Amino acid sequence: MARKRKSSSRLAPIIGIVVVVIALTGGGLVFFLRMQNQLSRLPTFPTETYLTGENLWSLEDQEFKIEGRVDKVIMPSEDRKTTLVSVQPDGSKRRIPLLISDEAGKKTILPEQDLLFKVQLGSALEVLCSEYVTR
Amino acid sequence: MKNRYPPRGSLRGFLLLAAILFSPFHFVYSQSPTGPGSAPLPGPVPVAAPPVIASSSEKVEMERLRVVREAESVSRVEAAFREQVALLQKKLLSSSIEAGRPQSLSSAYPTYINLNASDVESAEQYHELLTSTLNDLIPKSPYRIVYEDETSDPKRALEKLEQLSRFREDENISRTIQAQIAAMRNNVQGVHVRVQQIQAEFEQIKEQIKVVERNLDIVSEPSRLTGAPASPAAIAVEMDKANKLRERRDALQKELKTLTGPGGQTLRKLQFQQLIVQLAVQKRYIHSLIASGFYRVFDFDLSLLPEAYPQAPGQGTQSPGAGNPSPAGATGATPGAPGAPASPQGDPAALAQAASPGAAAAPIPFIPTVTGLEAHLLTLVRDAMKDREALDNMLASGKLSSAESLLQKMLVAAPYQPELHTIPYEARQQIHEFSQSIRELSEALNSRDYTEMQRLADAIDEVADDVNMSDVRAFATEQSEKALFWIGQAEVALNVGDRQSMQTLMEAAKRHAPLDDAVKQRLEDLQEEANGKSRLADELRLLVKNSDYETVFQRRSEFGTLANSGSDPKLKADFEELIRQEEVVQTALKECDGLADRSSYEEAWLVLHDIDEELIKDPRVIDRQRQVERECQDFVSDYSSAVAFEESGQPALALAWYLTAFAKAQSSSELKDRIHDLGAKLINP
Repeated sequence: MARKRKSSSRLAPIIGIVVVVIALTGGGLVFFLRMQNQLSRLPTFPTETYLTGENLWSLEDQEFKIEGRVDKVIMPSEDRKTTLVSVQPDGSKRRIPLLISDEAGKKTILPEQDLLFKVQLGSALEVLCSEYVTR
Repeated sequence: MKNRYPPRGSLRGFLLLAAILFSPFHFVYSQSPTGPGSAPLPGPVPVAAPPVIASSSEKVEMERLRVVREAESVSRVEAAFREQVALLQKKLLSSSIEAGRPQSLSSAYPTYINLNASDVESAEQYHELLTSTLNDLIPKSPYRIVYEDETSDPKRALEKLEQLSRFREDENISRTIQAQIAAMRNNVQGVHVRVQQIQAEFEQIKEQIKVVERNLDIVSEPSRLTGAPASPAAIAVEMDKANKLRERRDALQKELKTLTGPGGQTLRKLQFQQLIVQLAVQKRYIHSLIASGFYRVFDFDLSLLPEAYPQAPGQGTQSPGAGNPSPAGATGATPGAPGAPASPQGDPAALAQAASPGAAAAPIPFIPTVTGLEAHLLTLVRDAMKDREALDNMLASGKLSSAESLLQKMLVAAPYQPELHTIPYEARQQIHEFSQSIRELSEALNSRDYTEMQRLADAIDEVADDVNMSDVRAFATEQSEKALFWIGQAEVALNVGDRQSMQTLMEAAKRHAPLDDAVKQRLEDLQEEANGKSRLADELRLLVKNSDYETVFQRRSEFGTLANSGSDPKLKADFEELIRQEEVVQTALKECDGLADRSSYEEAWLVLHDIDEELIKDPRVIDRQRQVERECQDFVSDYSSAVAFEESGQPALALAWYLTAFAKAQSSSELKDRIHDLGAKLINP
């Protein structure tokens, strides 16, 4: 019987660690899902409308989401705080240039990445990305 | 973006353009310059040396300057040419008297030189008889082969004289000599008859005078029957009769004196001598010698007879030349004088002697004209024989120039000698043809017919050994080549656009060799080319004005030389620009076709769209662009939208459309550049 107690006392830290790990992972997952859920709730950026260049005033001051694939990383800004990226929205053959702030996401943006971008129009009708997450 | 021409294969296009511009047109002649500071061409002149490529406008300018110097040196070269022509003319004219100084020729020369062979045969027969006649009269005749074997025979000579008179060549000279001899003989007979007549009449008149004088005495006395005084009328009648008879007697005395006196005899002999001298002066030496021979052998020449030198009172007989011969003595010794007339009262000789005013004067010296003349004539005949021998030797050795000169001398010195008239027809024609060739050569030199000069120089060198025509031949060759050289320079002048120098050089070439076929042909070709270039220049200007680069490019080989001549820098620049434009169009079309073949329609469309603004309306470009556009309408729409937004100042939207278009044409450098530019503008405001 003593031998049985001894083995259960050894398993306790291991179980504890597993529980912590699971808890952290689950927390993170929950956080991620929450954030994704938040971006997913944003309206989809009207790509076609934007590309016509007409009535864009109605889109000002609104946040949109763009779900798409990174087509090309065009260039960083001179101060390295912004990166110009070409994105192909899902279901479209068009390309939208996004100005992504370096604070918008922690993951390095590379071509062929499928990302979800939170965007809004800038003063010069440029599409500014304030946040992005991996899909 | 449109300024980035050529967009692809720029180096290859440039090389092609350079090859087109320079390789076929920039031909210059690497001939030795003959500018003011250079020496005249020493030998054959390179006419069209292999062309070199003038790789820059500097070379064209150098060629232009060289051609100008060449044109300026034309007058100096032509002056030297005239001096050379004068020297050659002098040489040619000294080679032949007939060719050089025809005015100095005897008028009989052309007739003589063209006498045909039958005339020569007749002349040979005539001159054989003539010399035979001479041999019968002159013991020392040069025509006698062996003096000792032949004897003089005046009678036979007289018969031959008759035969000679039948020849046309004799021209009645022998007949004249015959007549003179006959006159001398007949004259002596006639004088004798006349003296007898005078003597008879003289006796009658003497009797009549006695009768008249007696009648006069009778009528002068008073009548013995009637005592009537004498009638004056009767006296006058008788006086008149007496006077008339005396006058007649005096006339007869005077005639007798003339007939029998020494003056009349000498006059007749002098007339014969005059004939001899006339023949000698006419240069009929053999005829003169024959007349002289007859004069001597018939003892007309008193100077050769011992009787011609009668003894002076108290002296013996003298040999000829020992004293002063007296015509009076000669007259008395004349064998032809048939008897002496009687005195004036009964002997006519005495009458004549008495009537002679010089009877008491000193004897008249007799000059032996014929003997001295005969010696001189023999010398001339011998000279003529030597000349003929020399002439034959010259002809045998081909010394035609010397032979012609000698022939001229013979014709002047002894025109009637058999040595001259028996020269064969072929030999005379040989000399004549030589003179003709020299004259034709001189004329060819004057007319600058170098081909004819060379032909004649060859012909003369072939037949004549005492003249050398190598300098004439070299001169002719050099001048033809010089003319061709000038034409070559004129071509260069045309190519570099120096029309004035071209005209100067062409005119010089034409003056230099006006009859040279090759020169004429090249001048015509060059003139045609020059005219064509004028038309071509007008055409090119019109095409430049219409910006018809396609036609200019198609005819670039025609226009290239003209445009690159440097005469019109603006035209050249316009030409080069049009060539470049066509090159751009062709390169773009070619590139477009290549991309379209690989289904890269978007990039093919961009190639044509990227072409120069002034070329975008080219029908070929428009047509090809439409064809390609049908295959990539979405791309064209994207691109057009991008351009429209860019032009309206909306770079974000323009960039969006460029990115969309670029997704369909990812190798397009133009799109890449535009995206980069707009991106930079957007991200770094």
